[in-house]
Amino acid sequence: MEGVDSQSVSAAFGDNAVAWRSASRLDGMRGRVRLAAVAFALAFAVVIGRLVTFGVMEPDGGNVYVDPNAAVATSRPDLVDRNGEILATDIKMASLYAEPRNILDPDEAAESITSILPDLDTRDLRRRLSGDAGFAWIKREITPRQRREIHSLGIPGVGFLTENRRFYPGGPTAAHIVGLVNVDNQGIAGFEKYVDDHWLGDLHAVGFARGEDLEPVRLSIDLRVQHILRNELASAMERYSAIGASGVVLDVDTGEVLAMASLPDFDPNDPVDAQKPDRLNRISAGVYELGSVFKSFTFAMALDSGAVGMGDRIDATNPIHVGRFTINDFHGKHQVLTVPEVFIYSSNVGAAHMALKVGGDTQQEYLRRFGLFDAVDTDLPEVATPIVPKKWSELTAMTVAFGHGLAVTPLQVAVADAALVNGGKLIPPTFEPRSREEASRLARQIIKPHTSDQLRYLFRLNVEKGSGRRASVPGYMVGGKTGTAEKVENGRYSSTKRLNSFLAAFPIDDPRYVVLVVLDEPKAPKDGGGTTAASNAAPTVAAVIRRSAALLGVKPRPEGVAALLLSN
Amino acid sequence: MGRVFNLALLVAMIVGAVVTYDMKHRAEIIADKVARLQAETAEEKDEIALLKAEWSMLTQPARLQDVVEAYADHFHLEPFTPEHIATVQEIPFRPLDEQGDAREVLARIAAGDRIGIQ
Repeated sequence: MEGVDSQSVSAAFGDNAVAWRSASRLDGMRGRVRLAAVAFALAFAVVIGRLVTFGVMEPDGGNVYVDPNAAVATSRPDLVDRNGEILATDIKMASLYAEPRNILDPDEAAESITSILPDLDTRDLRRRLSGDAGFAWIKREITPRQRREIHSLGIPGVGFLTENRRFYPGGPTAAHIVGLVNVDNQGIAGFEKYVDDHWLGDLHAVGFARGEDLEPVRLSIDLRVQHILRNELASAMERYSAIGASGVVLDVDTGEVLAMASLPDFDPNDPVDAQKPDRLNRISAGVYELGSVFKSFTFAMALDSGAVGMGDRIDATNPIHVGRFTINDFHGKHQVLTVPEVFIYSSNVGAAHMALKVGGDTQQEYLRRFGLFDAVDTDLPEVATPIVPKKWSELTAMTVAFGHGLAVTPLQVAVADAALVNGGKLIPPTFEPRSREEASRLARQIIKPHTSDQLRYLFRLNVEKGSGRRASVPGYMVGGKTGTAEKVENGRYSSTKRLNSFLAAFPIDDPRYVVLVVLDEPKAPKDGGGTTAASNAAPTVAAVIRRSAALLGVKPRPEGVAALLLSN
Repeated sequence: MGRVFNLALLVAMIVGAVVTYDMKHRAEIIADKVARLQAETAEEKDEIALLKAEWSMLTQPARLQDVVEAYADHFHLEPFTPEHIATVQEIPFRPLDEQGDAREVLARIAAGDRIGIQ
């Protein structure tokens, strides 16, 4: 090291120091570049990340034009029958309005609007359009085509407001079942109210179901059968000058109501008289003393409890006197009758004797079991509670035996009757489709299957030989019971005002449907005839069955063979 | 070398910008179209609902009954009865129309005569 020039050393060192210094500067620059690169990379990563999220994201309809009217109009689901026919639907109705202040040329506007809406008066319209008002209706509820045409005219200062309107294509056909909505499209009666009470009301309350598509709600009724029932009731009402007529068709195995009508009714599209007292739903919301159809229940309990056997004889020779009351027979035979004879002659005396044999307590227990003491449990909101006598005396027991003194709804009578013929299973009625499995889960055994067989025999016998002859429809094996009840007027039973009913099941050897028809105050037809249920309610039931059986999927059979099977 | 690279980047950037703008523009057009189609669909749906309601009004059993009754004479319409309902199995074979013996009938059919078939 000695020989080394110190200068060169220092120079070497100095050089080295310079090199080191510039290297460190370069290093600092590189670091910053790297920092910037990282920052940019991060920024790009964020951008790419956002792009990926945008790519994956569902596009929201942010820039889609939202109709403010659609947001306001509450929509309701369509109601359809069991075959998908529309019973009630929403239609969007456009209403045309004008802002006269913004109309440039009222003459031309009026001219062109009347060319599309010819029922408007041009002069009147011109007057309304030429003012300085901010708003004026031109026409409420125009058709979509008119709307499109007016829209394409492009008149300034004219616009549309759309609102949902409930429309019932069938008009009054199923009025009492379908029900009604109010101006705010809320259900206020019938199935419409049921839908609201159950789920739609909650949905609307939290702001859903606005302008969205709701699945249609299917009902159990068959529009065709419903029409037939209503049509036949209407012609019966006219023919027998009755003040009211009602009927129901029930599936005995599922409890589904296939048809239910009550006249007079109303048009739900224009329900001006829906609130009149005579427009109530007589089937589920009215209670009546139905008379002799109740004997079916007396026979059911007498045979089921074993108090009376099919082969027994009942003494119906003399009327029964209890206090100041006398129980008499309408078609008095004044003789000892067999049990089937009591049924087919519809003997009040015989039924009263049978009720005494059953006993008041057992009778009440059976009636409660038949569901005749409580309001029927179903989907329709309009359901009346039966009027049950507070004290159950011997007289009560006897009169209830032939259907007086206990007021019930025709619907629950039809339901209980379905149980009498279907093997003894009481199934609550429903207006929604229901499968047999579901029905058998809900079913309650109220009488023995054997009793049910005996009752079917009695019902059939009554149509073949008794008061129900005019309910017979060859091919469909109808079985049933008449009921001619005297109405209470000013606290006493009237001998002229009657409530006639016919309770039928068919085909009686293997029942599928129960049909009940009730006529309020029928009179003799002009071309002659009686006034009892046998001569008006029974033929009405026959007409309903004749026209609807095929639609209900019941195949006609020659009756001889079936009758043979039944008697076994 | 560096210059070529920069130039390539510049071109890539311009191309990228143009492509992006084009995409955005097309997306806007499509969004407009979607909005229009949605509006049209809604309108069509309303119209379908209206037509369904009209169809259901026209096919109401009550209306059909009126129509049938009005034209019953003209078309010789009659309500069917339970005797009119049967399954195919229950229908007996139609007896051959006797017009001479079968061979003669066949011969006539072969000759183009359609009397034998009804």
